[in-house]
Amino acid sequence: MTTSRMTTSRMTSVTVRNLTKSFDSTTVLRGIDLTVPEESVTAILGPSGCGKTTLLRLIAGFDGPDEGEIFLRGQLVCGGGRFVAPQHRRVGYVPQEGALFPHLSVAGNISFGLRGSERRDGHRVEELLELVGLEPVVQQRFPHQLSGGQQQRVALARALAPRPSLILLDEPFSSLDAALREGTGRAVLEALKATHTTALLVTHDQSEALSLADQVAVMRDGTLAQVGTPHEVYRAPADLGVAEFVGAAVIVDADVVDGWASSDLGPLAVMPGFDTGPARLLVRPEQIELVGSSQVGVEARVVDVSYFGHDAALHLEVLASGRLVTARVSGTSVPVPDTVVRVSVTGPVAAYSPEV
Amino acid sequence: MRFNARVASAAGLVAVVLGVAACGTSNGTTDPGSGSGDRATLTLYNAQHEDLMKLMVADFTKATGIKVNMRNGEDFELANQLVQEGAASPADVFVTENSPAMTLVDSKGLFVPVDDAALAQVPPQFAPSDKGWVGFAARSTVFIYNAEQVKAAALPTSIMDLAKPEWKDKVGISAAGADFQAIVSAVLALKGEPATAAWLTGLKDNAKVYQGNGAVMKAVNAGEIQGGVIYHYYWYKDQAESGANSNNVKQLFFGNQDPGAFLSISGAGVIKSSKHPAEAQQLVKYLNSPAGQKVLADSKALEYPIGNGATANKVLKPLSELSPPTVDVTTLNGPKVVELMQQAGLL
Amino acid sequence: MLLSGLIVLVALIPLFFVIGYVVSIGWDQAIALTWRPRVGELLRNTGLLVAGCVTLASVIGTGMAWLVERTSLPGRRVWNVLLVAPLAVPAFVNSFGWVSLTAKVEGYAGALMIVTLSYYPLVYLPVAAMLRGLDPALEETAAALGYGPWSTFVRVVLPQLRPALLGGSLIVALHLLAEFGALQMLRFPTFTTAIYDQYRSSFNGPAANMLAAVLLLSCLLLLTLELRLRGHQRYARLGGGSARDIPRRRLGRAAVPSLVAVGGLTTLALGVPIGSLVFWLVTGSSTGFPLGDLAARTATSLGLGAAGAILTMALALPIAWLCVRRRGRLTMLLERSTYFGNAVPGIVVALALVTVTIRFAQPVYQTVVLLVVAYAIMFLPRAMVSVRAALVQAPPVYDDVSHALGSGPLETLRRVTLPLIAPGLGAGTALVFLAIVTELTATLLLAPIGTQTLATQFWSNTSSMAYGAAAPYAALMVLLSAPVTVLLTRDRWRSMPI
Repeated sequence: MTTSRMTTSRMTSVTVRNLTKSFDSTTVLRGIDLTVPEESVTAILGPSGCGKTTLLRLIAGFDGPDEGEIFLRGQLVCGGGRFVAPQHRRVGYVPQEGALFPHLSVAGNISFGLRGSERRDGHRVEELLELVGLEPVVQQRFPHQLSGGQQQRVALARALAPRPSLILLDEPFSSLDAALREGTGRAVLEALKATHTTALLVTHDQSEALSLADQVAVMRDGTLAQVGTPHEVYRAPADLGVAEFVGAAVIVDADVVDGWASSDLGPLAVMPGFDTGPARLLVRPEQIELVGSSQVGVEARVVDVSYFGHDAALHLEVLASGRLVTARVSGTSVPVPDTVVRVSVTGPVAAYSPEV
Repeated sequence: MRFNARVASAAGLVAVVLGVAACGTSNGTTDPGSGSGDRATLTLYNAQHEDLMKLMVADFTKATGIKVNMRNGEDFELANQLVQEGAASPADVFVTENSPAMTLVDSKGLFVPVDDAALAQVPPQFAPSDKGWVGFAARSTVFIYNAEQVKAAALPTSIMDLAKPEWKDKVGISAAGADFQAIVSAVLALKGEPATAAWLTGLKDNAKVYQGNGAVMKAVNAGEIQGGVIYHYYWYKDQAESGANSNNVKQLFFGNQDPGAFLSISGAGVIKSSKHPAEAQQLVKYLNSPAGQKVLADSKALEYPIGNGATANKVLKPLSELSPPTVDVTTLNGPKVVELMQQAGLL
Repeated sequence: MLLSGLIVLVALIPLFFVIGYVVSIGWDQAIALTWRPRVGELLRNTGLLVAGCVTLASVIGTGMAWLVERTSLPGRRVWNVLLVAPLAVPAFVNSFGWVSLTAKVEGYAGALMIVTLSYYPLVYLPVAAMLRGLDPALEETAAALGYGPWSTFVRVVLPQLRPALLGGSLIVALHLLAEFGALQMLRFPTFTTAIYDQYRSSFNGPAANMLAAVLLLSCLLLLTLELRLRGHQRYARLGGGSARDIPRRRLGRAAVPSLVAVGGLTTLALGVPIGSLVFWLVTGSSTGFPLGDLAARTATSLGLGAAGAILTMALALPIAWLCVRRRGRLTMLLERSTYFGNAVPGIVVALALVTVTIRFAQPVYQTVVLLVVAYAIMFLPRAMVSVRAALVQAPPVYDDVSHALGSGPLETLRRVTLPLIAPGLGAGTALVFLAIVTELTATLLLAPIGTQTLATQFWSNTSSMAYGAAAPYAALMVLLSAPVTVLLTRDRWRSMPI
């Protein structure tokens, strides 16, 4: 369990301590500790079944933990015999697939959490529609008349309407087409920033987590394997498991001597913290660059090329060792299969002791 | 169209209130009219024809002021129900079309002896020796036949003939009805078990089964079957109305003390667990009293009144000419008949 | 959970009674009562009728569904309603319609015709709904692979229709096994008519109860067979519409024969009984128009229908709620147990309740309460299907969202849950109401003294051949059933809670 490396000088929106939860005989959460700073976006990243949705539900108050405490804005809402019901926690919730009330119009949905005159007014609804990037005319429509992306935005507007300080999102973009995801994701981020709302989202999609969050918590088997910035989690993962989950990885076994290791991919600079000894080294595909024949590098044969337009993935066979690696290169100059190229690894690599 | 649950439940509530109100007014309640209102109300388990009993009960209530609720059913259905209910039965009086059902109830000890005054009103053969019940009407078994299809020479001389091969697919019976089962009980009492079983087996091959004597007569009239075994009053009743179901039908009274001339008795008895025994006895006494018998004779029922001095409707063949077989009513065994009929496959 | 368990136990009283009875009279007696030629005759009759009817109804139902959903048949919308309309005419009224006009309709042929005409909509409805929701891509692929229209139908469409066909066939078979009035009028002896005859002769004697046991066994076998063949799908629930509309086949020269077929079927199934009713209403000679009696019987039927429907739905709610919200082994068991209620025909329920109450619960015997409880027991399975379908409209995620937005449990119930489940509950209540208003068999046995419903009054009149007097009661039953039947033809009600 790694503690957050972020500064705790700001107010925290959510603090979770030692949260444990079991269903029947399965332990789903094991002593989770997490801090979510105000006005930030934290993503809990993990594969299906790792317990991330359970964590979200516990924070929202839909269920109670077996052990542990939850603080919202410094107030204890759960733990030590105390349990605050969800309707009193002022936490916004956006479920997977939006779950708009089918019997209410868009306006009805959005104003559901509002009270009294604010609900009767139309202003807040229009305000929120604009915030999430939808036309006011959408107000009178019913959920089944909207597209998936529109429904998701309305669900966000609905959750934001009562001005919660924290909003929880469960796999918010998994039901959308790839093309929509980025646009909707950006719109959501903008809305959150504009309203100074803290967000905690769970997802299994690492690109979503990395691109949207300020803090990424990688969850595995009911525990947090690592909590850090997207950059930290990607470039310096806590262990190889995290490494392989968060991005494509080439693992090289080599001996590190004074911060350098020689491998069949050439010399590798090792990140500070690991000086000498046998290690398993993490190389990311984009670190493998094509170099000219006069520069330091190793030869590899291009087995196959996957061309994506803006970049390409080269499937290479290192001639010296026969190792198969994937390199990610810019789409501007892409070699042809069955040619021999020269590659070299740029940037430092993370190192892990072999037992990990 | 969205089904508005609230409107539905409101309507439902109204309907429930109406329904309860409707259930409260029993269809057998007779108008008290004159007469004191604080007399008991009797519960009558009635297996006789509903329209006839309604008339008789109405006259009774007019004369005595005692109201009567009727539960209508079939002879054995009600008899067995009485047996099942035992001491907890709500019935005060039991009335049947045929006597075997009375014998069944009597054999379980569920009747109180009928007052002598009521017994004195009919000839002695119309009540069992233990005075458990008393008769008040009689009906004769007849063989009806389609006049065009059956010539005089082909007519059966005894009801037992109907099991013979020449009657295959030509005869109709209402097997599940208590009427036919009473006739079978007479055959059983007169001819014994083996002969009756053989007769029933023959009938199973020969006969078409109908639901009700009226249906049998209609079928004979239409020529679907050539003959049938029913009671006498169906033909007379239909002739009195329009004759639509009987104009092609003729009746054969077997006579000769043949089982087919069996005279079945409608009986009335007072239930042991009755809470109003005195009033119950009054009702039973009324049924074969001159007043009751007159109502019966004047009605459209066209059954035979049997009270002393009562005269039947003029259109009927006189009772004295019928020559029925002599049967001790206590020997008519209903359950045994049901068993035999089950074995023969008729039930 | 406890409440649900209790409800299920009460609902299974008839089942326990029959089993207990068979056990109590001993194996030898049981065999002696069942192993006789009469029972063989009844089995043969019943079996042949079920086989014939299921086959015919499936063919007719599927054929008609195909015509309406997949071809360019003119007047499709009207035909859709007319083809479902026979459901508003109870089978015994249908029988009456034919029998009162001609005595030629009788025996096996007559019975087969009438029950097929009465029950084919039970196959038509699910098959039509399923056809509407099929993905056209499969048929197009078959065509691209060289299959002609007939082969495509047989090898691609029919297998997809299997759940609807099986479900519909099972319902037809169960209805048929429980059918009494229609078959009694046609003089076609089956188990149910024989049980009733036994009841009239010996009340609840051993033979009646044994016949009931055999009938129950047959129904249970059918039910188990269906469970095996279909797995967990108990009602023909469809997805949210197909990706695009399936192009309809142009009939061309086949249009006229098709119209004749559909029109002919409608005339036979609807025209004859309704025409017969009108005829008897106009020319009835037995009695005048007894308005007082009519009003009383209608009120009774309505009252019993309402009370029964409300009670049944109320009893189904806790069980269905458990099944939808708290899935687990125990709740699955509860659900399966109520499903077996489908296998107990009305007459068996009535017979069992009569004996049980006389022996153990005398005060309830012969009361309206018992009758309403009998209805609840009989129609609990149907109510379960409707209530489940309704509850599915309000899954727990809505509750969560509502809570997060600040509404407590009661407020959530009012603002979210109830509006979502009300239409489904309403439809379910209407369907049970319809079933009770047209119920004959159990009412005949259990109605207290002096209580007559439309159905029992109709029956008593038909038994004494007073057809003219019977007609108004039948007409009223049809009129009361009609609105609910129209509901069934609407697109919304895709699950088949019958």
